Order: sequence, then structure tokens, then C-alpha cells
Amino acid sequence: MSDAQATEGKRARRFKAMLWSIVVIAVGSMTLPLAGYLYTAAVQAQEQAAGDAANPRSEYWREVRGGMAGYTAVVGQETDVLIQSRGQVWREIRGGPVATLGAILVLGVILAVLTFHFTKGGAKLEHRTGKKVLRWSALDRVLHWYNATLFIILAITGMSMLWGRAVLIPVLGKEGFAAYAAFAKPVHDYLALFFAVGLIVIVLKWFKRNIWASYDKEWLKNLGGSFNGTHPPAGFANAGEKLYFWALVITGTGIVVSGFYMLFPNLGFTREAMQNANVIHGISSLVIIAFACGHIYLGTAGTEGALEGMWTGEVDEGWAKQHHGLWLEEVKKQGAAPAREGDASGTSATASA
Amino acid sequence: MKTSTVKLTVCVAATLVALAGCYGPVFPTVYEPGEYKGASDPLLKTHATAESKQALQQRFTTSQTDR
Amino acid sequence: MARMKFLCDSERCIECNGCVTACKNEHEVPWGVNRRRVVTLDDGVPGERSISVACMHCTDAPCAAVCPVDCFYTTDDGIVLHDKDLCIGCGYCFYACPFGAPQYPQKEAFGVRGKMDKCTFCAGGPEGKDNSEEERHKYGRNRIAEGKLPLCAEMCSTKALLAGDGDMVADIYRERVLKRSGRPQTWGWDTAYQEKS
Repeated sequence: MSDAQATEGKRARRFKAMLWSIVVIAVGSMTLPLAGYLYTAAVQAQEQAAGDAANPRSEYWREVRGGMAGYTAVVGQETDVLIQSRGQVWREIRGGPVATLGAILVLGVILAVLTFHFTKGGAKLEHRTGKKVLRWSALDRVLHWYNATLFIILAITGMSMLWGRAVLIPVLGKEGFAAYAAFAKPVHDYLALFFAVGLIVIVLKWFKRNIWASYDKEWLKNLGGSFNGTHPPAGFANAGEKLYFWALVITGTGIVVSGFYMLFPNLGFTREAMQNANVIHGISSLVIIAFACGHIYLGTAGTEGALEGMWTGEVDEGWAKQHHGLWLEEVKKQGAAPAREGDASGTSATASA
Repeated sequence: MKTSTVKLTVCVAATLVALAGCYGPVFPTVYEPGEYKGASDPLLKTHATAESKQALQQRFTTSQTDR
Repeated sequence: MARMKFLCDSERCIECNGCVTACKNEHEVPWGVNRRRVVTLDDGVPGERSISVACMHCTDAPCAAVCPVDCFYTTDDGIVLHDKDLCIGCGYCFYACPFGAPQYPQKEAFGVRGKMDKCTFCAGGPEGKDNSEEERHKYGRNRIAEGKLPLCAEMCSTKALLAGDGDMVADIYRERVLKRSGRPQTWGWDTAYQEKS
């Protein structure tokens, strides 16, 4: 082979290589961008296969069960929701823990009060001086008995809604109880408004007397001296009364707010809101009813000389010294004639109210 | 008050408290949508075998398709 | 004893609201009360389904469980009925019902609702005499006493809504499912097939 031939062959090969490179680059530059499509198509095919394997309806009905709203031609409260399963939760909670624990709580407090009364016995008035001190102004007394009357009516009608079926139907019969309930329900509904107003006034008016003081801890430590016979310090209101007041503030707020939700179906609250309101209403009411049972006992048979204060407005000086020593001292400091002038904390509270 | 009356009153009150406990379940099972809280299903194990899985898959592809 | 049940075939329901109208007309229900309604899910998108719903006459009826005056009762046919003479309109059955079946003629302040009204499965109420004027006024027609089934199902143009003995309704539906070889619209599919989408 000659030199010329060799160079000729080399050139031909180079040309061939160049040609092929150009072809490869051209084809590659045209096809490579399409790989993106290829990839997405493959992924889509894969997804399709996976999607086919599962029932697309399986989650559909689960969502419906969870309260998914649709469309309906019927106008009304939540008519577009096919299934609202919170009602079952409400049913279980109201008929279970609320009714059961509530009954145990209220009856338990009554049992505790009875046991205490018959074993230890209430606080006797140690020394009746015959001198009177003004404790409750006429307005205070009116407010107290106004709220007390409404509270008892509302408590009885409310508890008959919760336990009437178990307790009263066996006694009155279905017709008898329905006749009573048909009367009790509107009574409960309308008196609720008056009670709410009275509650707000009473909370505002007696707010100052019930602010926690440092010496209240000692009262609580001794349980008011009910068991050890001591006379722990107490101002106008002792720690127990203050506890009752604050319980009334907290549960009262719960009762009034939740009651509002149930009282006005015309405002279009959802069923869930009304279910929650009913549970809050029940719990708050039962707690404060339990408190009230203790309060009624301690204000009547449990403490000699206490009821006359709320009835006539005046308490015996001996009683005041025994149960509200700090308050009596303050009253005596305020003026020489405390009997008719009213007490200091009482007037200041009136001014604030 | 007579001691017997006292005892009777306290006994009746105690009985009522005890009876109140029978009213309803204190800790009911509260079900939420899409949440299974029942007993475990013994049939689930049988589905784990390759055979039954294949059978189910076959039935699925032959009839259970979205129309 | 038969247990009366409703079943709405969502593959067939065309949302014509014929059942709603038939019910209203048959029972002369008060204004604002609809014992039956049609709910359309995913309205206007693929996979749309319509279902006619009323009182489902539950075996363990929540309304009956929470009623403070215990006015609900279940008939021998498994129909859940209520006594309007006892009802105090407290609204508890409406809170408890998952289907929104209990309805009230009034909805005013201070909880004024009037006596609850709901689907009776065309079986009237507790009145002694069937189809008496009083019963018709309070609960509507008593078709069951006449040996007829609820009018909503009888009137259904596509036979989507089935009513009657639960066993027979189930048989009809099962036959349909097999014939159209569609997947049963049941829950627990993922559990049985152990496939997740």
C-alpha cells in the first residue's frame, strides 16, 4: 500500500466518523427532549395501574360519613349534610358520663351533707349576745331570694329533662310526665332569661366581697372549723363562700352561654354547636347544683343563726364574731353604730355595682 | 330525730348514690368517622396469604371496575 | 318478623325529588317540614351521586335513646314511630339523629319548636284507629295499615328507592349489583382488599 492510499483511507474514515457524529447529535437533540414525555407517560401509566387496583368509592363514603356536605333542593338546617355522626357521640356522653357522674355527684353531696349533719352536726351559735349587726341590705336579700327561687325552679326542671325518664316516668307514667315536661320545658326556657340577668347583677354586686384574701388559706386548711371546732379568720365572706361564688361565676358563664345556643334555634346554630352546648350546660349545671346543695345546708341547718341574716338582714353579734370575725372588727372600726348603718364592704360593693 | 329515722335516711341516700352508678356507662366508646375502635378482625389474617390475595385481585379485575 | 327498611340505590337515583314531593302531598306535612330529602354529593363533577334520605328507622335509634319523655317506640315491623301527644319539642332527637330526620314546624326564639315531625314509613302513629281523622292530621296517611308500602318508594321513577322488608330489599339490591357487575358501594373495601389508592 502506498502512502497516498493510506492517507486517502484515513480521510474517508474521518469523514464517516464525522457524518455519524452529526447524525447522532441531530437525532439525539431531537429525541432527548421527548424523554420527558416518555417519563411522564410511564409514571401516568403506573399511577393508572395503582388507581385501578383501589376502589375510588372507598374513601367517598367515608367522607360522607364524616359529614361531607352536598347539595339539596330542600331548604333547612344542615339539610345538605347526609350523615352527621357527632350526634352519636353526644348521645353517649350525655346519657353516659354526664347523667351518671352527675347523679353520683349531686346525690353524693346530699349523702355527705346528711352524714355530716347526723354525725358531727352543724355549727351551733356559741353565744347569743342579743345585739344585732346589719349584714345584708334589702337589695342584697331581694337579689338573693330572687336568684335562689329561679335557681331551684331551673334546677328541678332541668334535672327532670335529664333524669325524668329514668326517675319520674315510672312514678307519673308517660302521659303524666309528658304533661309535666310540656309545662316544665317552656318554664325552664323563659325563666332562664330572668335568671341570667339576676346572675349577672349578683356577680357584679358581690364581686368585691369575694376577692381572695391571704387569710382564706387558713380557713380552707381548717375546713372552716367544721371538724376541729376552731374559728379560722374570715372577712365578710369566708373562703367557702368565696369558692361557691367563683364556682357560680365559672359555671354560670358556661350555663348562660351554652343555654343561649340551645334557646335560639331560629339563629341557625349547627347541630354540633347545640350538642356541645348541651354537654357544657349539663356539666356546669350539675356542678353548681352540687355546690348549691352544700350552700343550702350550710346556710340553714348547718350554721345556726345564718338564715336569719338572709331573712331579716341582721345577724347576731355573737354569730358574726364566731364566723366572720374580721368583718365584725371592720364594722366596729367603721362606726359606733354599726347596727343600722350597714357594713363597709357592703356599701363599697353597692357603689361599685 | 330518732336514731332509726336517721339511719334509714342515710341508708336510703347511700342506696340512691349506689343506684346512680348504674345509670349508664361512665366511659363509653366514642366513635369518630373513619376510625375503627372495635375488636381486631380474625379474618384479616386469611387475606394475608398470597393465594387469597390473588383470588381477590382476580375478582376485582373481572368485575369490580369503575363504570 | 319483617324489619322494614329503606334503601336508596345511588347508581339509579336521578335527583328528581319525586319522593320528596310524593311524601309532602300524601301526608300534607306542614310548611317547612320535609320528611324526605335528596342530597347530591359531588354535585356537577364526575362521580356525582344522589341519595334520597329520610328516617332510616334505626334498630338502636338515637332519637329514642335521648328523648326525655320517651315518646318513641318501635313497631313489630321495626318501624320507629313517635307519639306527638307526648312530644315536648325539646330538639334532642334532632341533635342525635345522624340523618337530620326529625323536623319541627316552628323554629323560634326561646326554644319554641312545636311537635316534632318525621317520616313514619307511612305507618301513622299510635292512635288506636288506623287512618282516623286525628291520625291523618298528626302523622299523615297510614298506608302500612292498608297493606301498601311507603309512597316515596312506590313512586320512584327509576326504582332507586326501595322500601319494605329488609331481607327482600337486600335481595333485590344484591341481584342488581350482580347483574350490573358493578362494585358494591360498601365500606371496608380497603380492609378486605388491602389496597390503598
